[in-house]
Amino acid sequence: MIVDLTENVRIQIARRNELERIRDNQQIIADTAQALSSVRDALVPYITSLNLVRSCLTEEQIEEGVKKIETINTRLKRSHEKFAAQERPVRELNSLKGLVEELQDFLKQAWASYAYTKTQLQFELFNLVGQLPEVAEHMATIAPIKRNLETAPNKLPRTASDLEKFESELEALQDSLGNIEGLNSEITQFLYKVQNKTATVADLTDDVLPWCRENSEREAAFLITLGRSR
Amino acid sequence: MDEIAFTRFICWDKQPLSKVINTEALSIDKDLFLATHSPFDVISYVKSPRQIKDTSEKKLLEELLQRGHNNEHTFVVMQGIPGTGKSHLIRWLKEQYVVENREGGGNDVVLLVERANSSLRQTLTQIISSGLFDAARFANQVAKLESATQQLSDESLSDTILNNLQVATREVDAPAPRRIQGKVEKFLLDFFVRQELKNEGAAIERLRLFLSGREASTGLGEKEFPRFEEKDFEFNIELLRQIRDEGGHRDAKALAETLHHKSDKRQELADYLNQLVPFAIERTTALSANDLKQLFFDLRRELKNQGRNLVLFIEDISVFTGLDAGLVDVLVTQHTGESGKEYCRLTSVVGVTDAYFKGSFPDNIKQRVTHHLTLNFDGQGEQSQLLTDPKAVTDMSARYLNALRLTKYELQEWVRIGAKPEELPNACLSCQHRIACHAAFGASPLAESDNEKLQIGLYPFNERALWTLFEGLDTSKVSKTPRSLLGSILEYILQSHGPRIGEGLFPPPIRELANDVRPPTLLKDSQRRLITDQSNSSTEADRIESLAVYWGDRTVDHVSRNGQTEVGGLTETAFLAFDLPFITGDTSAIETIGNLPLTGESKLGTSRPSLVTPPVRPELSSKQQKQQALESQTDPIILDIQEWRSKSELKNYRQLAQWLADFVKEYIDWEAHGVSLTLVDDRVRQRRFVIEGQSGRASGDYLVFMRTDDLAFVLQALVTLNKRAHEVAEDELGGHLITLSNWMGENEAIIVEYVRRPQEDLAPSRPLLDLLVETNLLIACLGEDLTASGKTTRDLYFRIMTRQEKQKSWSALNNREPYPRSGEWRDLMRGIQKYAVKDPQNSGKNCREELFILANCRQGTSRQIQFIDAASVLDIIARFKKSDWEIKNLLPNQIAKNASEPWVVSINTYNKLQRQFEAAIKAEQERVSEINSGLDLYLDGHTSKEVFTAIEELLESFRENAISVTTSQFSVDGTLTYGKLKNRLEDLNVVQGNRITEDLALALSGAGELLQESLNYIEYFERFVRMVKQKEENLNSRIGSLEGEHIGGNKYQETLTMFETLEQFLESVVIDAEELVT
Repeated sequence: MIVDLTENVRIQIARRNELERIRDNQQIIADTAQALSSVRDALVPYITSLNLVRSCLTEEQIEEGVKKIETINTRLKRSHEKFAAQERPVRELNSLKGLVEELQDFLKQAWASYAYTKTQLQFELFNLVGQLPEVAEHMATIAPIKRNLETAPNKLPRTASDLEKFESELEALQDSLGNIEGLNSEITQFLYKVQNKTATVADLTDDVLPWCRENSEREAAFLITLGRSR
Repeated sequence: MDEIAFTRFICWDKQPLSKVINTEALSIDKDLFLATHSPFDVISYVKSPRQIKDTSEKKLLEELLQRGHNNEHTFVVMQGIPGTGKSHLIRWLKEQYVVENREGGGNDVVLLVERANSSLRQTLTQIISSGLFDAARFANQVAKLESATQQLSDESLSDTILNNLQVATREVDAPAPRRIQGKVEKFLLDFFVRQELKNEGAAIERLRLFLSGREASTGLGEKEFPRFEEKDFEFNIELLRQIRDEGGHRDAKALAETLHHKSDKRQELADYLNQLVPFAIERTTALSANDLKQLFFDLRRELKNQGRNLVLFIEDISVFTGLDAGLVDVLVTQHTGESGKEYCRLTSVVGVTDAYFKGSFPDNIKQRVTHHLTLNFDGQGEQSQLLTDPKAVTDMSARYLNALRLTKYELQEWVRIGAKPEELPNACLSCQHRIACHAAFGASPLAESDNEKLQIGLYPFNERALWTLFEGLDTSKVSKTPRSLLGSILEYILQSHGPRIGEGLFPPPIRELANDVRPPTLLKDSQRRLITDQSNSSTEADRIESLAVYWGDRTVDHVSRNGQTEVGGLTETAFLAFDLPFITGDTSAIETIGNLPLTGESKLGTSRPSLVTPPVRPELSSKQQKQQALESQTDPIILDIQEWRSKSELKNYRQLAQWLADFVKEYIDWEAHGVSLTLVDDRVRQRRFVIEGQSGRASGDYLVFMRTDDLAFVLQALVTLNKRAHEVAEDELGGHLITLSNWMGENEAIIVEYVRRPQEDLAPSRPLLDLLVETNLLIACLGEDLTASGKTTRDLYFRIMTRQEKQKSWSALNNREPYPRSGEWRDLMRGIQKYAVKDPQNSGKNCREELFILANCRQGTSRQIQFIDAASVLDIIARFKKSDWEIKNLLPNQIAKNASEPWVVSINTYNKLQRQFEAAIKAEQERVSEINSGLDLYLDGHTSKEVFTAIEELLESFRENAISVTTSQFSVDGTLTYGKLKNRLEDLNVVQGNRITEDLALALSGAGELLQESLNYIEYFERFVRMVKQKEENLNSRIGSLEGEHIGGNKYQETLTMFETLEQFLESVVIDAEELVT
């Protein structure tokens, strides 16, 4: 009785030990899966954005982005190998989050640069012609577009529609400002001076004056004041 | 001079005894009353308005008359226990007051209120019929009294009383105890309670009797009172059950329960109801205390108008219970002052019992009593002042004896001519036997005079007999009062035994003479034998003894005085008067006393001169004086023996049986009878010697000694020899020794046979030593003192004769843990332990000790165990072995616990062994088998080494795998090894293999340690298995839990896939980007 009993118990001890070992691995898997998911969830949206805005970036920017992605992938593979070797890769995976953030910052910055460049010219034109009666009468349409575009550099497109929306609004603003009749470079120069309050009668050239008198409303839009010219 | 012999003479038959000796003073005829009246010379004044030195009745009478003459108010309270003569004295005062008042020309109105059947009705009737209340003038008052008496004759009086008590609970402002409050009204309405209280002797019946009286009886007894007592509410269980179960009101039930077993609560209820009794009586009689008071005030007003005064003699004021407050008001109200001037003077003498005076007489009234007297001796209860010496007793007795000897005509004539005491007729004067009679029995004078004509003979008593009887009254039954002298002595003896004088059968034996008297005994106990020897029959001897102890000086000493012979102080005439032979008496101290005067001091303890004629003993020699002094200090044990001889209980039986046992033990040559002194010690002792008629209950086994004269003489002899052997004379000593020797000659064989027997009614079937040896062998077996290797006779002898100190303690054996033996073995040990071995719970003898004592050959008087009769013991052991330990059933199953102790311990133990030893051996054999199987179970075909190795390895595995094993669960016992276990297993098989009873018994006896150790292994294995199974269970549980956790095992693959997907995705991005750049 006793001999058999001790034998049985010893078998049970061995079985218990095996199961406990397995149970410990399960924890590593769960932790790894969780860390990996976290990395993936942070990375994938930016990779998508990168693909979207890739045409908006410079070559240097694209190379820089690829380089960062490669670094991330290299580290990911290392974790993968560790995991496959039943080691705990959680720490490595957590450290990947820093690289992902770097990629995010890089992409945001590249996009902001692009979007700013695209919108800035239009905003300056808008500032010149905004007071003109023919522009002012369309202000209700233009103002919301302008506001959206002002925030666009801070919004890295996540989807194709985000990017399309940006492009269409930019195009709409260009269209609104570009339809003003007779607006050439001399007139544009004059408008700058008016805006800076440096315009003089001398600037009322033959091209400028008729453009100003082209209709009575535009004529009334300019105010003549006395002052020293520079 | 005597022509007719003075023998069997009866002279007290001239008047009916019951008429003359009537203890109710107020019921006796006037002539008899006056003829038998004994003057009260000692009346104690507790309170009086002035110092009264003369304490006689005459002085009291003078005091009453003088105060009347001085027109002083007088209220005399005469206190005394029942029977002290209050009524007698009050009646005498009344009779004398009437005479003196008349002769002095007074016109006082005198009213005597008798106790009158102890009822209020009779009392009121007396008042109505006294003639004091003029029918015309007192019409209303008398009508009220008459109405009251009619109320009291109502048949439903008991219920009326109860109803009125119930009304009183509401009407009377009496404080009720908390537990009673509110419940008593319903309690008194309860059917069963009412029935109980109306039973004969119960409170309501007593009240009814008191109010209405009882036909042809004396009404309430002297010790019965018309009031509630605690015992009235001592209800029995059956009554309580009825009250509880048969629809009674809850208050009644609750109160009845409260009263059960609580005497203090019952007393509270009685006290409370007693406060209501006056109200109930007033309401029942429709007569109030105030009515009674007004009645007497009206009378006093009327008498005042007539110029007369009132004198009231009330025998017992308690007859006015309920109305007494009114009467007392009348008695204390004086005729002087503004408030009392309309009343006549009142002189009253009122009898009260001690109890009434203490409990019912208001303190403020006590202050207004003018004279408080008591007739109790020394002012205390229990004894009358009247009868404190022999003279007073004989004086009173003589007057009654004289009245019995006179005709009614003679007495009436004496009363007619003035009833002067000195002229009272003396019946003895005309008696032909007067001289002889008075000489033999004595006489008492009618007055303080030596006049021969006034001497009244005391026959058939004498002064000593009367005093002895009176002094011997049993005060637990009666008080020493005139009433008990008359009733318990004179009347009882003359009524019960008087006629036997004529038949020559007087006096009867000592105990039969008077019921209420503690019988006296002879001063010299040995003289009873002498009386027997000198009498013709035991009946005659009894009568002579009775004569000697009552009439004589409690001896039968033979004395010659002035040529006349006396025996026990009595002359031949006294013997012959009762038709008894004049025996020679005890001549051992014959002395001839010369011409000494016949007068002198009485022997009866009084310094007053005695007029009893029997001569007083002359001066004795110093030796006789010493003996007399010794004898006078009567030995209570001798008295006890003498009373026992007369069919009384023997109270000093313990001491006497002890002396008897001591005597028997020393007297008989026990060795000659072949009786062990051990048995003698046990059998011959006080508690085994029972004397027939002893007061203590006999129990157990004993020898009864019958009540015979011979035994009485033996006991008396033993008392004398044990208490004063050095003081008795040689001849008396010799007499005692002869008495003892003769008795022993008749009883020795019986005593020896008794000692031999286990108990009185049981003949022994085997010698005690046989039993003890066999019993001790079996005891030694059970006690593990035997072994399989020590089986020779000699071995066994040494085993059983080992000192107890060296033998194993049964308590230790029975308290071993784990206990190795079978239940039967232990039960048998426990069953016989009390008698088998020395036991802390049993201080008595035991078989081991008894064997030593019995086998011991005593050396002289020493009881030390020094020399054992080994040969006899060895023989018995050899026989027992030869029978292969056959325990024969030869003895009775039962033996009295108090039978002979050696026999008790032996037989009880032997019988138990005989019944149970074989079964115990069988059970023990099975026990060995059971233990063997138990070990096999754990070994399970493996060797002990394999098992121990498995245990070690598993424990090591536990340690390696962090499985903790606490010491409480299991710890390795280094003393248990596989090697020892192997040996134990072999030993167990050897024990199991025995087939011969002796071998088996010896093997089993010695197997205690083997079994104990085997059990230790079993217990060790049990603990191990229990622990391992616990661990196994824990492991199973853990494994199940872990296996459950692995149900979600795909997670690993999913993660791998996730890695791969993400890597591929990134790679594709890189490729696309590179392509774009290029």
